[in-house]
Amino acid sequence: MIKITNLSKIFYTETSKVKALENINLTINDGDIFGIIGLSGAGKSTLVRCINLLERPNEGEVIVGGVDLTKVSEKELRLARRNIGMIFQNFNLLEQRTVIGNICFPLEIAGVKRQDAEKRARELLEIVSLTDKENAYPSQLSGGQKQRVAIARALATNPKYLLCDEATSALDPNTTTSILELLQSINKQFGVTIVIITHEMSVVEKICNKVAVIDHSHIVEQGEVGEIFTNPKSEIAKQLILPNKSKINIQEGQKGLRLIFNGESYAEPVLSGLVRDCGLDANVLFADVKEINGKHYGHMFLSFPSEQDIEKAITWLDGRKVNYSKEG
Amino acid sequence: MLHCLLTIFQFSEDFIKLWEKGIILQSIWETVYITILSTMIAYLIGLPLGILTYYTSKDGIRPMPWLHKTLSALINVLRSVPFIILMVALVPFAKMIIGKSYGNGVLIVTLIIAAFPYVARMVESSIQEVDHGVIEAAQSMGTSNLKIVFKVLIPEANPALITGGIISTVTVLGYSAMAATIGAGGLGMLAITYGHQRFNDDIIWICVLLTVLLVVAIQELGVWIVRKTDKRIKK
Ligand SMILES: Nc1ncnc2c1ncn2[C@@H]1O[C@H](COP(=O)(O)OP(=O)(O)O)[C@@H](O)[C@H]1O
Ligand SMILES: [Mg+2]
Repeated sequence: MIKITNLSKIFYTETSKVKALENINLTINDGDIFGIIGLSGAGKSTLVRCINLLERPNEGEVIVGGVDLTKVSEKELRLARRNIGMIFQNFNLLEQRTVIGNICFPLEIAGVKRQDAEKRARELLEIVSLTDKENAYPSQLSGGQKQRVAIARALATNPKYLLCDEATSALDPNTTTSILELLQSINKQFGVTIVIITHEMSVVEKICNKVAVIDHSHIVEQGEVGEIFTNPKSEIAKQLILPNKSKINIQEGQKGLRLIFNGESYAEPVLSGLVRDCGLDANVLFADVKEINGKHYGHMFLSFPSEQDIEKAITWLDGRKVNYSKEG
Repeated sequence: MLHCLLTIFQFSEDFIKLWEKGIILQSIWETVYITILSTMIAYLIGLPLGILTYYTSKDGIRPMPWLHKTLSALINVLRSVPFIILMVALVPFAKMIIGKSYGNGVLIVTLIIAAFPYVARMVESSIQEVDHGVIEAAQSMGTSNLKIVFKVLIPEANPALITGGIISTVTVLGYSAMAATIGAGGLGMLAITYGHQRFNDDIIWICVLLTVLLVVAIQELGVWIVRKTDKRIKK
């Protein structure tokens, strides 16, 4: 478990003082894939770097696996870090070492014998599907391959936790998907708890079970991904999750309903039911429904020809426990 | 190569005389060994000094403002004194160390003193080029500061360090040409005593040419080593 309590971080520069994090409280359970999402400059990187103390908080506790890392000696901190892997947006591989040399690095540091280290490195190469690149240098790899090497390297010492700071932000959509799938399988197969920092909702949506929304140095909202997705409360979460209002072209005088799918009702049966059972002439103005962990989340804007039709639809929806709100 | 040079220089009778006395080869050898020996010893001091300067800097591994400022000031002061002045100023110091106030030994001592701050600065800037993200990645794996120096900074900065080494060597070679001022040998001495002082332009130009050839040879060697060792170059 990672437990952060009352954490604050202030950066002092020559000319000013930047409060990067203020009074952060966060609990990440073992086995979670925990997303931390926010806009650029919100404090995400600072927060994740406080977890392994690359950044030392000014206040607060960072308890990883029962130990408050802010209180241990440097030597103990180094040992604790072997249990917390980290990957980065820019991969940060050692350019002068081969792929296997990079993966062996943390093992070398941990004092593992060379032969054993290489054996472990080859296992990891198999996990990240790069067995044929063992002796390549980072400059010879694509972005996705570099991130795979970084993942293998971060996992070399068998950490319980893996921190990912914008790990897919430098990658194209297909590569992003394959890296996220790899992270997901690492979580499932080896029970590694993963913390994912991102500014992209799609990343959280694809693999996270929990999410915290961070804005201007504060955590404004956190909880199950499904919950936050269906019912974002903070402005920033709405902005990140809900579609841009201006994208929905509701004409003057047009009345409509916003249907909300929270993982219990399903999009298609609702729509076809409305049309079939009530004989309504519903018009879909906008729809953004996603499947997360096999459930449907999102919302859909429907317009109806008359106020009466809307009332009919509401009666039908009430009977089926579909959430909605009246718009227009 | 030597044969080729001899053919070119055959027009110069003075050159042939000096060649036959063995003075040309002797001077080349002196220049080469003075340069290499001085540079090597300068690195023994300058390499750790440059690393320490980076290590203690604001964005370094462990910021220590006081130490950093002191080291930086020392390097800057020594670097800003023109070599010829430093050389004559250091003659008494050199005498203390080697017991003489003229000759190759004195030159080597002064070259080392002039070169080590230069080397330190070169090393510092080479190491600064190592991506900070890579250092952080190593820290996130629980690497101690000492291991970061030896397993991350030096190996990752290796190509830049080699390039810096070549530039330093060439600089020392240039300084060593002022040897005649304190009675040391080498191509500089040859140019002054057999060329300039005897109004013998041939010899001066021959010295220029030989120096250029030495510099080119050193640089080519450096480029070759870097190309062989830098893994960032796609092959
Ligand atoms: N080392 C630093 N020195 C000064 N300010 C910093 C430093 N690191 C981050 N900041 C500031 O802290 C705030 C949060 O930064 P960061 O955590 O990198 O945001 P994010 O990762 O969400 O984009 C920003 O205003 C940034 O400028
Ligand atoms: Mg960031």
